[in-house]
Order: sequence, then C-alpha cells, then structure tokens
Amino acid sequence: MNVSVLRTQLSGVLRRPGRILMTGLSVLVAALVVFGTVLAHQIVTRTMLDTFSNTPEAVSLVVASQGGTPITPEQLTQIRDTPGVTTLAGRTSVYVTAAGIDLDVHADPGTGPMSRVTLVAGTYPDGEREIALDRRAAERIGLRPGGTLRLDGWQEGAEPVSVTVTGVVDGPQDAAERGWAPDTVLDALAGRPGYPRVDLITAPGTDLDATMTRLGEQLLRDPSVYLSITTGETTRVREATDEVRQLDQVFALIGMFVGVAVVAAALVATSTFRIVFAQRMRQLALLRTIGAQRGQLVGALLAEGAVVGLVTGATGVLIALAGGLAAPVVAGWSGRTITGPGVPVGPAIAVVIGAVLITVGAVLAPAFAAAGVAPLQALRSSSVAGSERGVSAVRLVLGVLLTACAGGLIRLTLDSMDSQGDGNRELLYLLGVGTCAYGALIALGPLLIRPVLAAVGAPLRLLGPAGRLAVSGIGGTPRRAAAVSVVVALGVTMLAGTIVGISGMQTYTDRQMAVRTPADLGMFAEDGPLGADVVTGLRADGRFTDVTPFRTADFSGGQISHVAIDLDPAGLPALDVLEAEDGSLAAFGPGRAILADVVAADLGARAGDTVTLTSPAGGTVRLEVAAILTGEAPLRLGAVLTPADLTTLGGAGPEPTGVLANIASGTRNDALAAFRAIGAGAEIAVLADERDKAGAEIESLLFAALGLLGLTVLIAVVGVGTTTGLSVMERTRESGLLRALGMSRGKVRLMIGAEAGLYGLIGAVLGTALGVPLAWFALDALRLDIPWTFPAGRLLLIIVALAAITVLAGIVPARRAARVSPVAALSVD
Amino acid sequence: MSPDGFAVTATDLVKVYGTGDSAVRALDGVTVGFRRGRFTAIMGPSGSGKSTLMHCLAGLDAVTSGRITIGGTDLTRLRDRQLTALRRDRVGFVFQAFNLLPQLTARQNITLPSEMAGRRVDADHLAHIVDVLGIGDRLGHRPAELSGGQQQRVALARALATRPEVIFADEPTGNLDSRSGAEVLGLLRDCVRGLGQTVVMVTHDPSAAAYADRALVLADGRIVHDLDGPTRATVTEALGLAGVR
Ligand SMILES: Nc1ncnc2c1ncn2[C@@H]1O[C@H](COP(=O)(O)OP(=O)(O)OP(=O)(O)O)[C@@H](O)[C@H]1O
Ligand SMILES: [Mg+2]
Repeated sequence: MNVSVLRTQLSGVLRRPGRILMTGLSVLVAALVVFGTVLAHQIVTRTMLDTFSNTPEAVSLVVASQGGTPITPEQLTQIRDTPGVTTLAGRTSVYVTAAGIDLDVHADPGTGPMSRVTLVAGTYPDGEREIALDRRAAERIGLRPGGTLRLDGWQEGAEPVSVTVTGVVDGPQDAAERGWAPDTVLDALAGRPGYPRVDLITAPGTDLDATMTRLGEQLLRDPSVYLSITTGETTRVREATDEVRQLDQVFALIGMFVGVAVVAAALVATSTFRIVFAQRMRQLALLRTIGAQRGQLVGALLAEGAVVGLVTGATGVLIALAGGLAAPVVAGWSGRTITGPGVPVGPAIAVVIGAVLITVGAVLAPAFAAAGVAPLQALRSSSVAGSERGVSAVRLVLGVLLTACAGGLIRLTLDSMDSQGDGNRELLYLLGVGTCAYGALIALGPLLIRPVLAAVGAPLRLLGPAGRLAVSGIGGTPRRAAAVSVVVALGVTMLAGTIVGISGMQTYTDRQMAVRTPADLGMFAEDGPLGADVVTGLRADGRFTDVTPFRTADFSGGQISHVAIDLDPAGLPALDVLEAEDGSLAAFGPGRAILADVVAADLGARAGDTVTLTSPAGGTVRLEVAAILTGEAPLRLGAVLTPADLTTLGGAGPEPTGVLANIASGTRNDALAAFRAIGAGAEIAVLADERDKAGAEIESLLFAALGLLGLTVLIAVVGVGTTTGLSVMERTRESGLLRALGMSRGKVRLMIGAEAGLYGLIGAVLGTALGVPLAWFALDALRLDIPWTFPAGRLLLIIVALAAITVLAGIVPARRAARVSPVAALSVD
Repeated sequence: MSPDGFAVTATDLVKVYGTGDSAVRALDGVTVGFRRGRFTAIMGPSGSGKSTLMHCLAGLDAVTSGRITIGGTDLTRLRDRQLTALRRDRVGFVFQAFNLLPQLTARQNITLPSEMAGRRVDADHLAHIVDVLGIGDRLGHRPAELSGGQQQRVALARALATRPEVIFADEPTGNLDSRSGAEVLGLLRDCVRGLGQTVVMVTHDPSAAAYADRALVLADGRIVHDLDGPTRATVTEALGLAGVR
C-alpha cells in the first residue's frame, strides 16, 4: 500500500516536471547561490595564490626584522659581504603629507629585477632629496618632472623638506597616493638608517640553503637580534596566503548573507508546497477514502519533497559549476587572467544533500497538514480559495509569545546598555530581537495582510474591476499572501535596516566632514597673513565660488586654550548640516558666539549664557552663547565669532589668515592649479579629497550590502513568481469565467500582475515597518553615536522597486492566465 | 436590433475538433435562428454537440465554418477584443457550476460585467431583478455562504444585469435538487415573459425543456427535431427517436 501511495504521488510529480521546477525553483536558486559562492571563493583564492605577490620573482632571499628595530647598516654590510649575494634592495616606506594630500613614499631601486615600478616620464631619482611620484599623485598635486614639493612629516618634529620630483612612475597601488625613491635616498630623507626588510638576489647556481645558513651564522650570532631569513619563494606564498586570509573574512561575511538567503528559500519552498498540496486535496482525500493511512500519505509527500530537492539542488549546482568553469574563459575575453575553480566534488555533494534536507524540512509542515485531510473532502467540490480563513490558535499563541520574547529582549538590551560592556552582549540580544520579531511576523502575518492590503490596495481599486479583483483575490487567501509576503519582508527588513544605518552614517560623516572640510579647497597662510589680493583674486575667478576668508585667534575659556574663527557660517553650503545641541544656529550674530561642545563644557556654559573669552595677550570679549554644536566648530576649532567680535578679542590682524572656496567649474586638478597660483606661498589643502574618500567608502559599503541582500530579495521574487503561477494554475476556471464574462486579455494580465505586485508591496511595507525601528534600536543599543534618520526617499524607492520587480515576476503567470480559453469556465472538471 | 426579430442566428455551422484521423465533427451544418423574447431548450444525447453549439453561438469558441450573428453582428468576423466586448455587453451566461467568484459578494458578482465595461448598473433595474429573483437579503454574502439554488439565482441576476441580447444557460439545473431546479427554471421563464429576455438553455432533462417555448433536439451534430411548445411527453418521444432511452 505504501508503495502504491508513493507511486501515485510520484507518478503525478513526474508527469508534470514543470511543477517540480516551480515548487523547487527557490531551492534551485539557493543551491546555485551557495555553490556559486563556494566556486567564487575557489576562483579568488586560486587566482590570488597564482598571481599575487608583493615580492618580485627575481628575489631569492628575504631578510626581515622581527622586532621593532630595523636592520642596521652594519648588518647590511654583513649581508652584502656574504658569498653568493650579488644585489640587495632595502624595503621601507614613509608616510608624509604634501600640498594637502597624504603621500606614502616607498623604497624601490627603480630599475632591474628587484624593481616594482616602471617609469612613464622624467628620470628615476638617484640623488639626495629626489623622489618620483606615481601617476595619480602627480596629477593630484599638479606637478611635472622637475618641479619641487614641500614634504612634511619625515621625522618627528622636523621642518618640512623640499624635494625635487624627477619622474612619474606606474607601480603597485592601494588607496593612498604613492611616491617612490631608491632606498638610500629615502633613508636619508627619513633620517633613520636601516630598513625593516632587505630583498637579496644571489648569483646563479648558488645553494640557497647554504647561503641562508651562512647568513644566519653571521647575523644571529648576537642573541638580541631578531631577524628572519626566508627564501623569496616562501615569502611570495606567505604574502599571497595573508591576502587570501583577509578575503576569507570577506567570504565569511558573504556566507552570512547567503545563509539568510537560504532561510528565505526554505520559507518560499514551504509556502509553495503548501499551495501545491492544497491543490491536490481532493486526490489526497480520495486516497484516504480508499484506505491510505495518514502516515503513508506523509511518507509519500516527504519522498516527493526529497525528489524535488535532489533534482533542483543538483540542477542549481550544475548551473553554478558551468558558470564557474566558464569564468576564466569569459575573463580571458577582457584580457584578465583568473584561475578556474576546478570541480570541488565534496562541497557539490554537500550542497545537494543540503538542498534535499532543506526541501524535506520545508515539506514537513505542509505534508502533515495535507495528510490530515478528512476523507469527506473528496466528495465536496471545495474551492481552494474559499477553504482558508483566519489564523489557528497555535499560530496566534506562537505569535504572541514571539512578540513577548522580542519585547523582553528589548527590555534586557535597554538594561544592559546602562552598564559597561564591549557591546557583544547587546549584539547577541539584537540578533534575538530581530529573530523573534521576524518569527512573530511569520506567525501573525495572515492577520496583518487585510489591514496592510486595505492601505496599499486602495490606489489599485482605481484601476477598475481588474484592480479590485486583484485586491480581493489576495485578501481572500491571506495565509498564502502572508507566506510569500513575509519572505519579501525578510529581504526588505534587512534592506531597510541597512539603508537606515548607512544613511545615519552618512549624516554623521557629513557633519564630521562639514567640520573638518567645509569647502573643496583651503588655503592657510604660512608666515604672515594672506595678501589682500588673494580673496579678490579668487572672487574674480569664475572657477571658484563660496569664497570665504577667515581669521583665527587663540583664547582661553576655563582650563584649556582654544581657537576662535570668524568664518561666516552662512557662506558655505556644507555648513548647513551643522547641528546645535543647545540653542539655535540662526541666532548667531554680533555679540553672540557659536561654541564647540568641548568649549561649552570647559566654560560650563549653556545657550543663552554670557561668557567672557580672554586672549593670551589679555584682550577680552563678552558674548552671549547663541548655540552649542554637537561636536567641533568648523575646521575643528573651538568657537565661531563675528569678525568684529574677533577683532575685539584681539590677537588677529586685519588681513585674513586663510580662505576656503568651493570649485564652481572645471576639473579639480585645474582648479587646484589656479588656486595654488593665486595663493602662492600659502599652504594649500584639497579638502574635497578627504570628503570624497569618506563618501566613497560609505557608498561602496552601501552597494556591497545591497548586492548581498539582493540574493534574499531574488529568492523572495522567485517566491512571488511561483506563488502567482500556482494561483493562476488553480484558478484556470476563474480566468476562463472572467474571459467569458467579457474581461479582455489585457485586463486579466493586469489583474494577475497586480496580484504579484501586491505580494511584493505588502512584503515591502511590512519589511520597512519592521526594519526601520530595528535599525534605530540597533544604532542605540550598539552605542554607535550615529543619529537616527528616516531616509524616506530611499525607502520609498525600495518599496516601489520591489513592487515593480514582483510585477515582473508575475508576467509569465499573467500571460498564462490571459491565454485561458473562456470555454474552460464551462467545463465541469 | 435586427429587423427580422432574431436575437441570434446560425448558418451552416461546422465545428471540427482535432485533425486527421482523430478529427471529431461536433457540429455538422447547423442552421438555426432564435427569436427575440423566446425561451429555447437544446437537447440531445451525450456527445451530440449541445455544449459545442452553445459555445460557438456565445462566441466562446471559434467555428470551423459558417456564420453566427448576435443582434445583427457577425461574430465570425470579430477579433478577440471585439468578441470579448460583445460577450460583456450583449451576452449573459448561466453555468451548471454556478461559477461565481468566491472572493466577491453576491452584489459584486452581479455588477462585475457592467463594471468591466466601465458602466454603472441601473439601480432600478438591479432592484427589479433582485426582487424578481428573491435574493434581496443575500446580496452582502459571499458565494460560500449561499445555497446552490441561491448561487444560481445570483448567477442569473449577473446574466440579466447588463440587459443582454441573449442569455445562454448550460445545464443550469444540473447541480440543483429538483425543487431549486424548478424554481430556477420558473425564474428563467419569468425573465422571458416579464422582461422580454431571449434565453437559450442546454439541458438533459425533458421536464426542464417543458418550461421552454421551443425545443431543439441535436444528434451527431445536426438538428433532428424542432418542437414548438414542448411538453415532457413530446420531448421524451423526440429524444427517443434521436436515440436516447
Ligand atoms: N475540446 C474538444 N476536443 C475534441 N473533441 C471535443 C472537444 N469538445 C467536445 N468534443 C467532442 O465533440 C462532440 C460534441 O461534444 P459536446 O461537448 O458538444 O457534447 P454535448 O452534447 O454537450 O454532450 P454532454 O451532454 O455529454 O455534455 C463529442 O464527440 C466530444 O467528444
Ligand atoms: Mg455538454
């Protein structure tokens, strides 16, 4: 009997292979994504090991200092004198600032097998106080070979040094602009003899092991010396492995996102099987009527799930594998070399087994529910849509418990926030809050569908009967709608949370940047004030706008000394984001001051108080505090005063000591050159660079997060497509009826498309409602000091985008429904 | 309004299902006209082509050859879009399986075709129909909360609401007990007498056919009898001649 029940079910499945694909589509995508990640990891790791090296191929031995002490000149001589060693190059780098940008200057011989750079213009430096710049640095600073540059920061407390730029090179790069010079030149500039590492080349045919032993005997005779001696080969592998290890962390993070996507796939699969089994209720009931046991039905349905999991899991793995194996070829077209992933059999099998387990797990609940069908059900001609109403008591209780659990954890988090901690506990609590809240959403989802539908469906009703039918179609099957919408909600919760978090970070950095870099360009007088013609010159030049001169003066408040600035806060648009912690920025004017928070604390002042500022020379000014900022004042100073008040305070001449300006037109490098020309002699800073860097970092963070969350959204969209497809299949008669009653094909398509869009819309609304408060709570709980924001535009964009994408997912089922012949309505089964 | 007083006409209708060896000639040269304001029953043995004839007449299915007019419009020349509009505006349907939309209330089901046409339902007309059909206190309910007879009356009200040229009914009493069936048939006849509706009904049941003004008997895709003022007895006899016990 069991076998025959199994056979009835499985033959039903095999007769319609399209359905396997449909019920298992989410599992297929999940398997594809998981195995795709495995392959991507393989490709990246192998490519990295094959190609990455910071050590040139020619280097045969590497001596590196292991303590903080560099390799001394004496040790260098010992190394040079060791038989077999032909060439050696010191490896070191120094961080300096040049013309307002940071420059990372590296040692490199410039030519020969040890060099990592190629010359593109001029000559490679070989004399005292000569360096080369990489192309990016040369462009940014606006220097050609032969120009000079003042570099600051070579040595602690030393004066800036002027160097000649002899050439421009291409070389390995990272985020920073780089300079290059021979080791000895760099050594002299930095004023610290010795290198942390020396690369050696040995004569051809030299026995490396013997040379290493000899080097060791020479260098390590003194027990206080900490040096490592390794072959170039070992170093290259270690460097590549270190690089790979960093990537492993990235992949661990990606793995977490993939994990959430797998959860989404399991949810979708559960919902799909529930629908499919509901459609087969009559048949299952018939089997019960003629004597099939519940257990037999459950077994048969679980077996069906296993088959679906096996087929779709294997398909997903194979598609991913095809993509992975094709990757090197595709990369080859664009001239890049990457190493293929090979065929990782173990992980492939694991993914397929995982797919089977997840699918069987997903089938479990629907299978028990379906097998519980009353035999009588076979005799009733029940419509699927009519047969689900309300929420079971178990669900209700579970939902309430989970809500309570989330509430309790919030309480706990709030309590632990008062105590000191490393934040790990809060993170754990937060994870619990999120999980409980989302669990409650799954349990109580069917109850939420109607109210949300009433709100978001209202505009659809304007579309006439098609829209209205779509809304009532979804309202009529709230459990189904909830099942698919909560998966969309899972994706949107995380999306909305990420967006809120990142937009908070953006506001935070904007404020910080407004303080640090209120304009694109800055000019600061070196010795004596700026010439009177500088400001007029800048104002006359169309390339600049918001030209804002300023003077600064020292003052002491309570205990510490601070700097006041007479900058016009209304002069620079970037300063609009400044926020007052107390008082109002609009109240600023003659006789009033804006104070940084630390200064206010130092003076013990609140907004509205009157304070007395004293200059080192003894001048005083009494001012009312107009506003206290949430952080520092512009340019990281202590107070903003009007020019007249600053003059009263004393300590500043009549001429400006600095000027800020924004670039109105032209490229940044052009503007910078003009700025430099007008302000010859003054220190120039490209403040915009710093701002861009911070902005770009946050932006790339946002895009990375959106891309990874896209996986979950993708699976949710697959869920919407499948659910809509199955709904259309079971409502063939209804589609036919509507066609018979005179609904046009287009309207039928519109109706089904609207249904799919509504699943997405409801999910997006629920997700936003859950994600935004969770993100706010997380920001507070983790004490990140990031302000709460409500990025309405972006959130709205997400909601609209999801509705649109899910409408697209409904296109195939919609076309199918529109093709139904009206005669279908008349046929009686 | 066509001058000859026919709501629906069919000329030399041929309908062939499938091709080659498996081809079935479900209609084999049917020519018939249905006068306005008359109640016609179509009868015949199973497989004789009753449903096929009705589907073709109603513009639900395409004919292989022949011509059909509803209110003077030639259906066989219309494209899907126009055909859909024609069904919506000038044809009403009553099905054996009621075919109401489960998620809509009775009233919403009744007004659905008019709304799809973008028209308001004439409130007086609706009130009149609802009154005649006796479903006034059921309008707020969904189909699942109605008895079979009530559902069929709602379906009838939906068919009547657009004042169609003709109502087609396929076994409208097939799913009802005899009392509810008799009520629905009585109502159909009342619509013809009282509202001047044209009704074409497919049925197996000779006593149902007795409610009609005229009965056609089909056999093998042809009309073999055409009875005026049929009674149970005359219909049974005609069916017997056509090969039904
Ligand atoms: N879609 C179809 N494809 C092929 N043959 C069909 C199709 N529909 C009907 N037929 C055939 O056409 C003939 C007429 O069928 P039709 O459904 O019109 O009969 P009917 O008189 O309505 O029968 P019943 O009283 O059983 O409903 C039958 O032989 C049937 O097998
Ligand atoms: Mg029939």
